[in-house]
Amino acid sequence: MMSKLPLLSAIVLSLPQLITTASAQDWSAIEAQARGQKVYFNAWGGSDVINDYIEWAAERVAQESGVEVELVKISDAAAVVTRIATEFGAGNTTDGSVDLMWVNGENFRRLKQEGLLADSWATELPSAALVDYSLPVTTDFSIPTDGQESPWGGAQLTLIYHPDRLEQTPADADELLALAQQQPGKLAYPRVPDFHATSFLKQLLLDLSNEDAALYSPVTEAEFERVTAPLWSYLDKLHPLLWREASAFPQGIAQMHSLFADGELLMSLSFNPNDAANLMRSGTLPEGVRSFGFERGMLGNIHFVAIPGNSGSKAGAKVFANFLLSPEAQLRKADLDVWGDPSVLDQSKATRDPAALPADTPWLAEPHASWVEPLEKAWLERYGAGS
Amino acid sequence: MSLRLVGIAALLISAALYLPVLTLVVPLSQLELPSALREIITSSQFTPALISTLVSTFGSLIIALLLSYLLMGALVFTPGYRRFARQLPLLLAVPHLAFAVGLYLLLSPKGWLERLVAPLDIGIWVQDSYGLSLAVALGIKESWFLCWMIWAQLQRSALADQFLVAQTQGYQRAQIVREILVPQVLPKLRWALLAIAAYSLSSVEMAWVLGPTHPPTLAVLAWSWLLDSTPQQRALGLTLTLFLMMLMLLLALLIWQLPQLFRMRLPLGSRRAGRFGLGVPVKRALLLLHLVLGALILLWSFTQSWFYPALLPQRWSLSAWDSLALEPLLTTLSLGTASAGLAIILVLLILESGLKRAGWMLLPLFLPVLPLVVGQYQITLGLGLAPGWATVLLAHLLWVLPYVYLVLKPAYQALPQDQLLIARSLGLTPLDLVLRVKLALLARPLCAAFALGFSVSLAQYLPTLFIGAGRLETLTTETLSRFAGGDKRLLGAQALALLAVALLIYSLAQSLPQILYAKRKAMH
Repeated sequence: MMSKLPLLSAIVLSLPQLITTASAQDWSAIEAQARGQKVYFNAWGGSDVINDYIEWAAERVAQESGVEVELVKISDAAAVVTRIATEFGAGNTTDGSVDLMWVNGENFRRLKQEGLLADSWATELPSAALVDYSLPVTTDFSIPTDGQESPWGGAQLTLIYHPDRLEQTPADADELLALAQQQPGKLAYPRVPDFHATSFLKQLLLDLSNEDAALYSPVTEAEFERVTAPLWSYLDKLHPLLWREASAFPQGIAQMHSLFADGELLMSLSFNPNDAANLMRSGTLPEGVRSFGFERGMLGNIHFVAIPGNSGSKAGAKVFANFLLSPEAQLRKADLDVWGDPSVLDQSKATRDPAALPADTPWLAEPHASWVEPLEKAWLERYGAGS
Repeated sequence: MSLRLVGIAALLISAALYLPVLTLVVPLSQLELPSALREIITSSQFTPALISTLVSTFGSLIIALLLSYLLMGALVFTPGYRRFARQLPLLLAVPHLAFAVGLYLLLSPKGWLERLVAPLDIGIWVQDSYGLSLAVALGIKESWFLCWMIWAQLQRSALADQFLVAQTQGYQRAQIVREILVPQVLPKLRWALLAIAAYSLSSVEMAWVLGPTHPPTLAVLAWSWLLDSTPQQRALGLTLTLFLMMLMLLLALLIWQLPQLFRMRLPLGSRRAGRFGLGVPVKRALLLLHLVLGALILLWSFTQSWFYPALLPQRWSLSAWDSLALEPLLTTLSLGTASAGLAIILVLLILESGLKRAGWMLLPLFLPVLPLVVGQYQITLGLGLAPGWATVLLAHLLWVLPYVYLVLKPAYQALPQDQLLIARSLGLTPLDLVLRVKLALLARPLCAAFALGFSVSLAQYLPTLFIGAGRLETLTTETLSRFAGGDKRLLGAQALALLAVALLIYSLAQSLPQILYAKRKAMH
């Protein structure tokens, strides 16, 4: 980590040259406007390391730019989308309760479709010039971001196991099924529509369909039938072999980690490639856990922050989003002792912790966002009643 | 006269806070009810969710009734009765959520009980598909409430004399309880049973911790649909909320008929044996359970690592306590104090002005929480009220007011009229009479009302979250987000903080009158 510091300072020092004079003037106007504004940042609040990191960023931006950031810990981003839509519906278009939110592709699509987002702003941030554009940062679940959200971090679906209890990790979906047949009741995934559950479904779908090209276009009924058919026949076979015969599902990955730590499950799941290392350090998972991915690769995506159109503190929100994207904030975020969320600035894959997902795990792009809703709906229709 | 005006003003303010009850009707016109209902009923999740909802609601009622029958039947008018009555407020003060978290730590897969009986290798779990564990948890928790209501009924009526007479005539305890006490007490418990049914039916937080997950209960399902980002799904959530209201109406009708099953039959002379041998052991087991749950919460809060099958933490740490923020505590204290204080002032003004027809103030106790919160949300949105401390305070009052009214009204009516007459004849103005005599006489019920109001505010989850736009963190919302976060160490620390504040407020309320009036025995 230390060896990266000169590089960091080089980037910081060259920062002013990267910004053209005209936009610098615009930016200083935004900074002036932002001073004293209060920004309600709505973010998933289920992880303390993330909350602590955001509190740190809030303090830094308060010192530096006089923007007061208040973290609103939420459990479900869809609920925030609902709130924003309801506010717009009630005629509140200038002083909404959300100024900046952490968003995933599915909710971004809804916000964008319903016209609930602030106009293009993300590419005008000074830090945006440093973003690694070889990462898929200009589309989110195959939807163009159009500068309406700013990249924050990278993530890749990761399977966590313990070598003492699982000698051979499954290389694909079929081997996973074989493992479930050998050791019934020892595998699980959270209940749909949990974010990680839906991601796991997409991973299986990509694997079973050989990354069908249709997954990257808007969904149609016929294509949905065709592409998902192997998934349903796979799940029909897998579910009776799952934990509690799939009559109950873990409520989220947090509960999965706990069941995994106590030996009730053989594997856990995360969307952060470094999570196993983090959780081991904090004592949540036992010593010796490791991460792995399927041979074909694992679902990866970039997570973003977006400004609702009815925010009353848009300038403040932009200044905070800019800080989140700054080398200082991104480097700290990637630090395993802080959060361990991969940076969107630096593409060169840093050496990873031995417990983390191997850095050479291929990256499977997210399917088009329109697939999510029918996928969740069909799952609930088929398996929602329990057994 | 001016007092009456102030009273009317207080009544109007309270009525305004109750508006959400009426706004329930509004969405009806916006929904295509038949088609939405059809869609809900035909969805695959509906039937299992309805079953677990009915099992947990009826189960909690039956278990609470059975337990309170066993305990009170065994203890009533015995030497241990008074001590039990004194323990009840403390048991009542244990927040539902803290109790649920304790049970979760005890009974979750690879939880403490499974570790204790590890050699037997049996899987023990909460969150069963039928909502049985939820029913048991709710049943135990509500049994203290029922015992307390029964105790209050027995204090007021002449049943003690009847009990004594029957005993001297040689009837055994079981027969007297069955044939004399139950038929007379049960009809008076109907309101309490309604409140239990309304709570069990619509509890989201207890159901989330202990209820089935696949699918969850109707209340949790409605809640998650209401939060969905598509308008169609939200409309379904609203319809399901209304369905919960209808279910509550049905439950109310059934509960109203219940006492008919236990009509009074005067003992015709045949003496039957039976003495409630189970009551005392069951009471001891339940008290032990509470201690174990408290201990588990305490242990987890000081844990670094504690993996199966260890019975005690393997590594200890203070880090969970380090991570506790002060803000939720301060918000909880300020909201609880302000809402209980405001509610007491409003209720006192209404009672003092002698206005009748304030019984509707109890209504929120018998309605499911979810539709009320939806109504509150629509009103705050319509009025453009910013989500924050003050808005949440107003939201809490909808549940704090009825409880405060429930405690203060009988106490107010029981004020000794002769003493008030003497005070008036000594020349006290009406204001002095209230400030110097009535408030002093009411010290005990006022403290009890404050403690109850505070604990009701403390327990609010849905209104705090929804009306506060998630901006306000209280001990209750933090405990639930710790539960979702899955880290049992942080969950333990947060639940312990919740439990400690609840118990502290209760013991303060208990001891304050004794400190204030240390020299006046009759006031204790």
